[in-house]
Amino acid sequence: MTGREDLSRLPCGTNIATLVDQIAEGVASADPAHQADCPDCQATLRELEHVWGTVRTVAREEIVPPRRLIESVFRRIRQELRALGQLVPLEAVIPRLVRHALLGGPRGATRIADSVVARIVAKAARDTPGVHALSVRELAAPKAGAPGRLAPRGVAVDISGHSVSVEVRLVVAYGTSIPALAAEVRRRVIRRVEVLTGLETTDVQVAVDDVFGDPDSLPHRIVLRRPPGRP
Amino acid sequence: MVVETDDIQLVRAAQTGDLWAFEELVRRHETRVYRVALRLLGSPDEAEDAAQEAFVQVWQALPAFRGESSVSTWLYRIVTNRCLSLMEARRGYEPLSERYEAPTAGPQRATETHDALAALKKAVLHLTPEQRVPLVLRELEGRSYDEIAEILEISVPAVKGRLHRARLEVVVAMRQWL
Repeated sequence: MTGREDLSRLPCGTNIATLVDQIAEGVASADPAHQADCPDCQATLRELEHVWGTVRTVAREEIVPPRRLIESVFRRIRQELRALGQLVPLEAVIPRLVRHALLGGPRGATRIADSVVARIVAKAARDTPGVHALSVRELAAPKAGAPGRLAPRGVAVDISGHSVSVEVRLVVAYGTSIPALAAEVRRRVIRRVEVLTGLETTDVQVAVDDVFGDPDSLPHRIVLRRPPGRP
Repeated sequence: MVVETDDIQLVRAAQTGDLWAFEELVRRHETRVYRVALRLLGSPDEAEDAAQEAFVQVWQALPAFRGESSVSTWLYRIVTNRCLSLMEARRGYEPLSERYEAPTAGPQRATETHDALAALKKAVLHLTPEQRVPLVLRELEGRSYDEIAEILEISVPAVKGRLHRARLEVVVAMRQWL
């Protein structure tokens, strides 16, 4: 390769390889006095900086694994377990149906299902004066399992480690200040989740989908929008 | 006080047959494992296969894990070996140059970032596996010399030697794109 010969030494006698390592490692020059004055070294260092800038850009590129990766891993493991004659409950090897917060401790870990957190959120939101009900409208992007089954409708939680991101959709009583109500819902949700689970709530997205008690609302609409399980 | 369960705790739980703990382990490391496979192999399909195989192998190797190295070092070792076997298997029957889209124009367009990045990835994939692995682990994954030596089960001076040659090769290849 001709490039290799080009690369061995500069006219000033400096071995280019040492400059390459200098740039790649980001360390100080072995001969700073020479490098500061030598145009050959300066030009080469600039060129190498350029190349290593590209390397660093590639290193920072975000790479996201395909979503099905975990599922395919578990499908394979299930097959292997079957081959060993072990019966494995389906839910043990189909991940993501239930997600858990994980609290580590010296004498064992505690797992809290996301549906538990969602119920706590739902109760805290419903208990806030001015909230008539949780909205039954489907969430745009359900976070916790299948909407309406694992989590109460109108609530979504996204657990990561020991923090949780929350979305609530509300029907509010007519006449309530919505910004003040949203702030109060947020405060209560954060507090209750903290007290009951020890998890930190990073954000509470509040959506107001409807008002109750508005003279223009028709009674049948109100009935339809009551969440299941409420009198 | 709440502390996050560390990897070793997860591995210990997984060793007792707790698949949920294993799932959490996979979830935590899937990005890293897939990313290193993609960087070593260049093809998303192959990287997905390699990552999947690697995790199945991790699961099989759970009983043998004694905690001499960190969990991430152990995972890197397994996925790296998986990729090295794949490179070995495909050697000779599939010309590398056909696997990747070549930059569309010559050096006059080379200042464009996109081309420079593509040229760099191509240069990395043209390295011999022996040089490619240390380069990817050091320059792209940011691993230390000691950890790379542990991952590859070679000495630190051997890592430095391979890395040194790999860097030179990359510089030679990239010079044409400057």
